[in-house]
Parts: sequence; structure tokens; C-alpha cells
Amino acid sequence: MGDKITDTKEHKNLSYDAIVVGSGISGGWAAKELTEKGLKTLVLERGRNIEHVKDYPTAMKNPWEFKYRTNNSNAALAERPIQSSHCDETNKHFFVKDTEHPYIQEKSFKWIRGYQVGGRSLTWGRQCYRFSDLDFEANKKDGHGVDWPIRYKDIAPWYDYVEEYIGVSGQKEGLKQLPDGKFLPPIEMNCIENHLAENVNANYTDRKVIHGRVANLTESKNGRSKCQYRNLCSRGCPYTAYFSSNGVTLKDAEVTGNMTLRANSIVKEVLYDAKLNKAIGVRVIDTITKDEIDFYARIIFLNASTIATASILLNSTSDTFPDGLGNSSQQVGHNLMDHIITSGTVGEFDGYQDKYYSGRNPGAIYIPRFQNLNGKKNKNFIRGYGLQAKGERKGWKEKNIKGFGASLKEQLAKPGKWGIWLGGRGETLPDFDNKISLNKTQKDQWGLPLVSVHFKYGSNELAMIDDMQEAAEEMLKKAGFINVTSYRSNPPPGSAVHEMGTARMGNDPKTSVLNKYNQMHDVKNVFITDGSCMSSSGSQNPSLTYMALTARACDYAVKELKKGNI
Amino acid sequence: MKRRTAIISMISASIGVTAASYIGWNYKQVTKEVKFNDLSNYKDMLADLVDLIIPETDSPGAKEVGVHYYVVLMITDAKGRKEQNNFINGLADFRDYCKDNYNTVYEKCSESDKIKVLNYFEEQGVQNGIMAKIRTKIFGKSFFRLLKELTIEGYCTSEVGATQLLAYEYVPGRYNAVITMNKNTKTWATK
Repeated sequence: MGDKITDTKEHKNLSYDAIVVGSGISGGWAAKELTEKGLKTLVLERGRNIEHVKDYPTAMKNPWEFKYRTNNSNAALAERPIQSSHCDETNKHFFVKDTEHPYIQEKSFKWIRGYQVGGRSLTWGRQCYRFSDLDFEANKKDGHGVDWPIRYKDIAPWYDYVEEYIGVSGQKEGLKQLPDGKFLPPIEMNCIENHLAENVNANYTDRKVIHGRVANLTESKNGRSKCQYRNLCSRGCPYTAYFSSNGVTLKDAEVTGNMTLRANSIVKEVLYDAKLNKAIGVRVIDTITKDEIDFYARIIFLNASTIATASILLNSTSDTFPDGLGNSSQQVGHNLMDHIITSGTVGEFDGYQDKYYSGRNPGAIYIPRFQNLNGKKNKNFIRGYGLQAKGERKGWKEKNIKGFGASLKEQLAKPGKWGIWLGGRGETLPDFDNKISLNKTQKDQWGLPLVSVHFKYGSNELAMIDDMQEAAEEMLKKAGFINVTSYRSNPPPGSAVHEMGTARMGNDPKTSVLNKYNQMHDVKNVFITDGSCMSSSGSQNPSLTYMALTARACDYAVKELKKGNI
Repeated sequence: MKRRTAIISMISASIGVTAASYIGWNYKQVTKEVKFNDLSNYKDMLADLVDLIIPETDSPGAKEVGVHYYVVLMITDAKGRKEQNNFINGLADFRDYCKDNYNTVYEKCSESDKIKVLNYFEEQGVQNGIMAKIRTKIFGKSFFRLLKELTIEGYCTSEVGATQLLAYEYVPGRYNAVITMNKNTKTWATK
């Protein structure tokens, strides 16, 4: 990497086989697949370059090497009033300054962003869960949104392909709603997590506590080291033990010699030629020089992330597409989804006082969806949610010790009671009224219209969060936990950082933006494989699905290119 | 003492006009401009206080580790205005309390009297129940809670605290999900 264009000689070459807009988790995959298939590919990233390892300034720091001991200072909060709920002193450099990148919240919506090479693949939660036909058939069955144009069998081999490459630790469970994958050995459960698993599995026939499936290597792989159990992932991993674009896909793309990575390049619009009925390239604003430069390619992959990709389309107007590129369906920017989450439910446990753990677990455990399954119907909501959980012994920070002096010190040094946290992640229904649009009057520092987000949870989502808390509390109480309580306030939408749906896939060009290969219905040489393509949200963490859809779309795009169809 | 009394009576008289006016008066106290310069008047007292909270045992005390500097840094740079005022007002209350009850400045109090004063402030600061939660929400954390939390945090995240009082592994290299503890097993400094 580090191959961003700086000299004028390279500027002369403005034409490529492919352009990939965005270098995050799906853009990195598009870069790898297209370059490995021999396409000269320009990868555009709006943020600064981040070179793997070299540009992870905090990765090897001890707590005492941070001025505020990892806390956000008031100055940091002022720069990132929105992002700061998701970052701290150790990783805030991978989150945008809200002061520099404003957007409009018509209603409260957190747009958490990482403008840099690698995007949010540096700071993602690394949970990897497959969608099943329960998800792919949901829209058709209950009439919300449009039917997915694919089914599990279409994507299954691509899930295999992605998992084998990125490395996902987990365990096969044989659950219909959460298909098994190609797993490395799972990260073991500690004794309180085991306790919960044994009790839930015994107390209920409809649900199961399983090992989290996480993109952290439990065995070394392809020259990448196994996880060192520091649990400092979001600072960037010097061991390349978790999957990121920077450490993995972009490295492999670079090795092909076919990639040109250009940082500091905001894509203003996609250039469209009405005669050819094709996109011919993109117009870029260089954030350093402020110059506008046009780059050309035969195919274009948009992987700028859900909200940004939709805003590029909406800003790409022409006589043919006065409302934005490929927007004859009027669906671009609409059907925005995020997973609805709770702050969680906690419980304490008396017992296992002689047990502890050694090393810091970067993963979690998981209770896959158990509502509206196998013929059982919940009376309050359709679809469902999964619960993530983590157990640990209370440490110095959580222990509320009375008194001070030598006795306080002694107690600080003793591991406290076992505790567990459960947090729900629920499916959000596609709703046309949840949308992003471009504000015609307010502009950013590059003169581009500000993105405006309008999002509100519906009654189905709200019914689900009540159920998440009740179910979590009941499971903990039945398993013998004490002091079981749920946090009363829940995070605003956007907090799951799982935005999806603003350029959805579907069979009908009248009601969807992309076809079953993530190809625009209206403009055949444009492919969109980030979260915006999602026809429904499922309850699973979605990045694995973006990666699988990207690899699949790249395969299709290159075949079509070779056939001369696009 | 007077500031403190006002807060307490506000909480106990949770209804009525009187309470409302107390809220107004007290809210002004915590949202007024912060007099950071006042912090320097309490430098020595603060060093003494953190060391009373975490004294030298078989590991060094908080003063030696410089935790009082961390407390001041966090109050100055990383707390909201209400808590900054709570803290600075609290230091004044603390000094006043020593004078009112032991007839001397804090520094001249005996070790056992100092501990009595700390106990008193901890008792006053105990926050339980819904009213306490509301109070914290409106007024921010109390002086003593801030002092104690920041002292513990400053100490436990220092190199001395993390590696001598607690257990710290820079690069664990493996995860043993279940281990059996012995009497020397200490809390992990980080998670």
C-alpha cells in the first residue's frame, strides 16, 4: 500500500478497468477480487491513507501512556460530539471529527464514520453471522419491503469463500436460522458464560447460547498471526489477527500489481453517458489540492458505505436521471435500516469464586434469534432479534467499595463477583419513510450538499426492545443470576453502526435499485455491494453478508465484462 | 458546610416551593463559571487525600504515583462544568468541615480525624435510590465520589497500580477461559 498517486506522471493515466469507491470492508473485497481477476483497478478513499501497522499509533500503548488514561477529554468530546459514544482516547483517530463532517439529523440518528483507508473495517465489532432463508424469504412472506432476489443457496458458496479467507472462529451448531460456516476453533467460554449456556440450553427448547463467531484468528493463517488476546482491536492490530481491509484484502490487492489506491479523494458524482447508457467514470475532489479530477473505467463498484453511496447516487444527476443515478425506482436513499439495540441487561452471580480467566477475550457469546421460528408466532412483533452477551468478573472499575485506605486497596486487588451483560440486536423493517436526502442549501467544506437523515423506529421495532429486555431478564433469573436489571435508556438509531438498505436489491426495477448480482437495474456497469444493497436487515451483524455479496458480484461483473455484455 | 447542607435539604424536601427555590439556587452554584485557579490552593490537601484513599502498603501510595495530578487533570480537562464546580466547592466544604469540627486546618488534623472526615463525606455522598439518581443527573457526581473514582482510576491505570497492586499482561498471547485462582491471584488491570 502507500501507493496513493502523488506525482503528476501518474495523474496522466486517468483510465482504469475498474473503479472501486471506498476502501472499507466491502471496498477492500472489491479491490482484492477485481485486481486478482486481472483488472487494473483504481481504489478511491475519501479519507487519509492508513498503512497497516505503521499508522496504528496507539496499538502498543499501555494505559498509563495515554494522557487521559483512555478517557475522552472535553476537547475530544467537542470535536466528536456524535462519534465519541463509540470511541475513546485510544482509537478516536479512526473516527471522523463531527465538526469537520457535519450532517443533518432530522431526528436523532448517529452516523458513525471512519474516513480513512480501511474505513470502519479497522474498528468493526468483527462478529460474523450468516443470513439464512428465514431472512431472505422474510420480505416476501410478511409483505414488508421487496423480496430479496437471492436465496441462501445463491450466497452460501460465497460465505464459504469469504470465511475461509478472512478467518472466522466459531462452532458448528446446526441451527436453521443461523447457518454454520467454515470456522476456526471457537474462543472458549469462561465459567459464567458456560453457566449461562448450560442453564439456558436446559431451561428452554427454543434457544441456545453459542460461541460468538468472530473474525479473530484462533490459529495463524496465511502469514497472519493468531490472536494475542490483548482485546485492543479497534486500535488496529499489529499482528493482523483480526480481519481488516488494511491488513488483508488491500494487501492482497496490492500484491497483484493491479491496484492504484488513491486516498484523500472524495467522489462527488458518477459520470453517466446517455448514449452508451453506461457510467463512464467518477468525478473526484482531491481534499488536499481541492482540484476536481475525472477518472474513467469500464465498471464501477460503489462501496462508500450505505449513506455515502446513496448520497453519491443522489448527487449524480443527468437528463436521464434527474433524481440521481439509477434512481428510476425513486428508492435511492430510502428504506434506511439499522439494528435496534438495547443498552443491555446485567446480572450478578454468587459462586465460582475460585475461577477466573487469563488473557483478554476480544469476542462475545451469542443467542441467535429464537422468536417467530418453527411455527411459533410472537403476538407483539414479526421477525426477531439476537442477543450478544459477555461475562466477566468485576474489576476495580465496577466494584463499588466502601471505605478507603489499606482495606480499599486490598479489595481493589481481589477479583469481584461474576457478572454478565446481554444486549439485543433486533431486525428493523424496511420503511420507505426512513431515508437520507441531500440538503439543497447547506453545503460541506467541499461544496457538496449535506446529507440529511430522517429515521424513526416503527412499532414493530419498539415492541421488540421490550421483549429483548424481558427475555434477557428472564433467562438470567432462571439461570440463578441476582440483581438482574436492564438499562432504562436505549441508544438512538444508528448506534449499532449497521446502516443498510438505501439502494436495495430486488427483482423488479420499478421497486428496487439493484438486481440479484448487485448490478444497477438502470445502469449495468455500476455495482453496489456495501450495506445499501440490503433488502432487509436480518438481526445478524451484516458485514459478512456484504463481503460475500461483493465477492459474488465481482465474479459476475468480470464474467459479464469478458462476454462483452457491459 | 453551607453549600452541602443546601444540597441535602433540597433532596429531603423533594416537593414544594422551598425545594424548587433550592434547586434553582443550587443549580446556579454548579453551572457558574469554574474557578480553576482555586484548585491550586488545595494542591497539598489533594495529595494528602489521594494518599489517604490509597496509602502505601506493600505497593506505593497514590501520592508517590502522582495520582493527585491526574485528579486535577481530569477535573480540569475531562469533566463537565457541574462536576468541576462540585469538585472545587467540595474541596472548600471539606476544608470548612475540618475547621468547624476540629477547630484547625485540615493539614493539622490528626490522621484519625482526617479519616473521620473522609468517612463523613463518604456517608454524605452515598447515592442510592431514585432521588440520588435524579440528583446525580441534575447536579453531576458529588465531590467525594469524583475524588474517590478518579483516585482509584488514576492509581489502577498507572504503571505502579497496574503492575504492582493489580495484575497486568502487556501481550497475553493466549486466552485461558477458565483458570483456578490461588490466594495470590489479583484482579486484571485491563480487560
